[in-house]
Amino acid sequence: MSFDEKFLSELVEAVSQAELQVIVIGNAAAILHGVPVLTQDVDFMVRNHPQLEKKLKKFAKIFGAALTRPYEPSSQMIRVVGLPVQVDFILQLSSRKSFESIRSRATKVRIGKRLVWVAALEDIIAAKEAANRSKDKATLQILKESLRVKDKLSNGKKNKEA
Amino acid sequence: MSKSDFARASKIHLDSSKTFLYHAASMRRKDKIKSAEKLARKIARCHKILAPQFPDIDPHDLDLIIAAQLRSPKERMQIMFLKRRKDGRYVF
Repeated sequence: MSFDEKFLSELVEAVSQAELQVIVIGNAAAILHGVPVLTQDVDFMVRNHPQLEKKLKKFAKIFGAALTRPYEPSSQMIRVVGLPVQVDFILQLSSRKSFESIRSRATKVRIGKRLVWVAALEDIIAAKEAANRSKDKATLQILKESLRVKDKLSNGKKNKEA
Repeated sequence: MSKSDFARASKIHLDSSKTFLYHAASMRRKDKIKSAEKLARKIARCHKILAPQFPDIDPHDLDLIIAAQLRSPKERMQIMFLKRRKDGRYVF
């Protein structure tokens, strides 16, 4: 098992222990969809509710890490500092789509012993387009091209099965 | 069993274990090469079918996309993060 796979499994295990409801988003989700990119962090979209802070603290405690809000006070993101790879919990996407809406199109992927929701490639692209940052623009082309090829390959698979 | 017999027997045992390990490693290498060749053929086959349908996608990018799509989710997790080492270089 590589470091990356092991780290991701440990993250997902900790998320489950902290009873957090999450969806993998960003480039990490794109990689799980088979887009040839790399990332420097793992982004989770998290459902916002009164118990969230308590659960996030539990998550951070498992790793001995700290929680920060990078762009206070209006930040929609909580960052976990002190892990080998940066982990961000996003409360709201730039595309303004809700947690339920993203989850309705998401797919479940097995990471370690757990099944995790991974946002649809269409939603990842929409969020990056809405964010409109240079680093997002840089990956948009390969994301869109991968989506077209993925659709074509899955259509071909369906036609073969039929 | 005399000391020399024991030494000879141990040597034979060690040699046979070494041969076995070498054989196993060589088989693993052969299997790895075989599956890599199989994947390369599959990518080439997909590329041949898909390239005329996506003339706007760079052929090298298309190869990368096809290779990534053909991997299982577990294989995709093997390399995800771009990490900076203490010496400033990046590793996968």
